[in-house]
Amino acid sequence: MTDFKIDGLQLIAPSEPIPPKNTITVIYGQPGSGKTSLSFTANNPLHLDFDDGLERAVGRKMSIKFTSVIEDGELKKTGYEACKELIDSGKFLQLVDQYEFKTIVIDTGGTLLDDHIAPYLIHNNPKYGNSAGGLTLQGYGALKQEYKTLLRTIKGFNLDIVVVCHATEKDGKHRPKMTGGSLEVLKESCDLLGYLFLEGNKRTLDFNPTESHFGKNVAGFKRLNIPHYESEKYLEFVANCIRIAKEKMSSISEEQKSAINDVAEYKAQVEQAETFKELTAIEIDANKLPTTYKVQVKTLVLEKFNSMYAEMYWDGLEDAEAYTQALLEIPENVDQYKSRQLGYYFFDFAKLKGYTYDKENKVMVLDESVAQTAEQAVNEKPAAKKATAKKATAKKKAVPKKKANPKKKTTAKKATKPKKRKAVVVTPEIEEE
Amino acid sequence: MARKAINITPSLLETVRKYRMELYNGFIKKEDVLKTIRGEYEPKVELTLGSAFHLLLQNGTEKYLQSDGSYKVVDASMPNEIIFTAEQVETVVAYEQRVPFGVKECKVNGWINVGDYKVRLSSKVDMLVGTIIEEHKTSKYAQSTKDFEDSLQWRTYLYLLPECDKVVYNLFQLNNTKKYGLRVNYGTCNFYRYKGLKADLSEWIKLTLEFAKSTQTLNYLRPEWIKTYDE
Repeated sequence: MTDFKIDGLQLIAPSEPIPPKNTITVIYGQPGSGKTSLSFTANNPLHLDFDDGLERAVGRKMSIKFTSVIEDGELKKTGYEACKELIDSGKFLQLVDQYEFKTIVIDTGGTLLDDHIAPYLIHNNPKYGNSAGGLTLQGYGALKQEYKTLLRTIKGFNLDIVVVCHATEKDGKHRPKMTGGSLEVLKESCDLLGYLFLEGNKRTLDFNPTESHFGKNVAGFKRLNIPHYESEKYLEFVANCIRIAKEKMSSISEEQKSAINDVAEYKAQVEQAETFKELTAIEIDANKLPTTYKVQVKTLVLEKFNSMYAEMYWDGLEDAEAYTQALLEIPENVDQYKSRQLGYYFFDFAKLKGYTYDKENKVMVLDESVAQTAEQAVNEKPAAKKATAKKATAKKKAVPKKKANPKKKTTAKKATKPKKRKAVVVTPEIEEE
Repeated sequence: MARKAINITPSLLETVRKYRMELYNGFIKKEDVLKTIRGEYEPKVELTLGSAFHLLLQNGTEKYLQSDGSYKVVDASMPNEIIFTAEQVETVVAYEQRVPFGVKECKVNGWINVGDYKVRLSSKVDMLVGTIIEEHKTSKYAQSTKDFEDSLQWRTYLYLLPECDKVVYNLFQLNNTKKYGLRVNYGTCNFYRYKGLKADLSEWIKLTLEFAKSTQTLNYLRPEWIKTYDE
C-alpha cells in the first residue's frame, strides 16, 4: 500500500489491491424461517427493529425499536424520522462507539420502506403521495434515493449492514419483498444476498442465484445448512459469512493485482517488439499462461501486429487507388486468420483517413459520410426501442426447462439446405456485441 | 462417447432464452431465433447513437479525438458519422482513467460437453482488467441488475475464463432530450461466479440444441471447420 496517508484520504495506486470494504448482506425468507434470529449471529450487531419481529427472535442482542407516533389519528412522527434524528444528532455514532457495534441489522428492509420511509416522505412533501395514500412515481424515486442515502451513511460509519427481508414470489422465483426501485438498489449495493428456507427439517441459506430464487454470492459459498441455535457454530454464523466474504474480496483484489502486473509485463514486451518474428515468439510463450492471461496477451499481440503492418504498408497511401491496392495485398502478405483480422482493421483505418469501400465495384473510394451531432443521431434501432418499451408490461410465462410452455415447442419443418455464409475478407461486418 | 462438435455464441443463447422466457412481451419470435442460428443479421443502415457510444468505449476515445476537442465516431461500413462534444464523452474518459490496465476486445473461446455434443462457445469480452471482466451496455433507458441478472452472457464469460470470479456491467444511459441535449448517466452492476453456473449454462445449451434439432437448423451450428473437432 502506498505510504501517502492523511486523515480521511488514502492514495491507492491503480495496480494496488483495494482494501476490503464494509459489506451489505441481505437475508430474506418466509415468516418464521428465523431471519431475525440469524441476523443476531452477526459480529456485535445493533438491531434496528422496524417490524415488531423481535419478540419471536432467539438469541436477542441490543435493539432499537422504531415506531410511528400517531396522535388523534394523525401521523406526528414516523419511525424513520426518529432514526434519522438519531443519526443526524450524532447519538447514533456515540452508541456505536460506546457499545463497539460492528454490524447494523435493518429488520425488515421492506417495512422500513413501506411503513416508515414512504409515510415520512409523503408527510414532508405531499406531492410524493397520491390520493390513495400511496407514493407517486416521483415519490418512488425519492424513496429509492432516501434508502440509498441511509445505506451509504451507515456504511460510512465503518459498519457492516445486514438487511433482513420477507420473501415474496413472482414468476415462480423467490425474491426479497421490497418496494419500488429499492430492491434494485439493494441488489446492486449488496455483496451477499441469501435466501433462507426450510429444506426438510433443516434450515438452509443459499447465496447462489438459482431458477427458483435470487442470490448474490461474492464469496462463492455452497448452499449452507444453518446449525441448531444451541450449537456453538450457530453463534457466529453470519459473522463468519461476512468475514469469509471480506477475505474472498480481499483475495480477489490480491489476485487482481498480480494478474494486472503479469499482463503489464507482457504488454511491455509487446510494445518493445519491432518485428513480426518477435511478436510470434511472445504469442507462443503466452500459450503456457492460464486462459485469462493468455487471451489478453494474444489480443495485445494482434493489436500490435495490425499497427505494425499498417505502419509498414499503409503509411503514406495517397489516393483511393492506393488504398484498393493495399487491400488486395493483404491476403498475399499474411495468413488467412490474420488476413481477416487485418481486413477489419484496414476498413477502420481507411475510414478514419477518409476512404470507404464501394461494395458494388469492389474498390476503395473517397468517403462521403454525413456528419451528425449526437443529438441528431438515431437513438436506438427501432426494434430495440420497441422491445424495451414493452418491457414494462412484460410477463414471463415459460419456464427454462423442458416443460416450458407447450406453445413454444417447435415443430420440425422440412429440412432446408444450410446457406453458405458470406466470405468475410472484403466486406466489414461487425460482430455481435 | 462419440461427440459431434457444435459452435454456439452467447448471443444465440441469449436469443433462445429471451424467446423461451417470452421476455419483452414475447418480442423475440421463433423466426428471430432461426435468423440468429442461420447468421442472417438485419443489415445496419446507419450508425446509431448507442453503437457510436459503444465504439468510443470499445476503441478508446483517443482514436476519435479531433483537433477541436470533439469526438468524431465513424464505423467503416456506415454512411454517417456521429460527433460527440467533450462533455458528452466525459463519462467514458473518466472510465478509461479508472481502468488504465484494461485489455479491450478479447476473443474468448472454450468447450463444454452437453449430451452427445461437444460445444464450442465463441465470444468476445469488451474488456479484461486483470481477472475482472468488464462489459459495456448502452441504452436510452436506465438499466439495472434486473436487466442482466438472468443473462447467459456473463455466465458464459465466467465459464470460459476460470481465473475470473467477477463481471462488471458498465451501464451507460444515453438520455437524449430536446431540452437538454444528450446527457450520459453511468452506473454499474456486478455478477459473481456461483455454484451451479455450469449446470445453468449446460441447461440452456441443451435447450438451444433441442430448438435447433426440432427446426432442422443444427447444420448451421456445424460449419465445416468445426467438424474437424468431432470426437
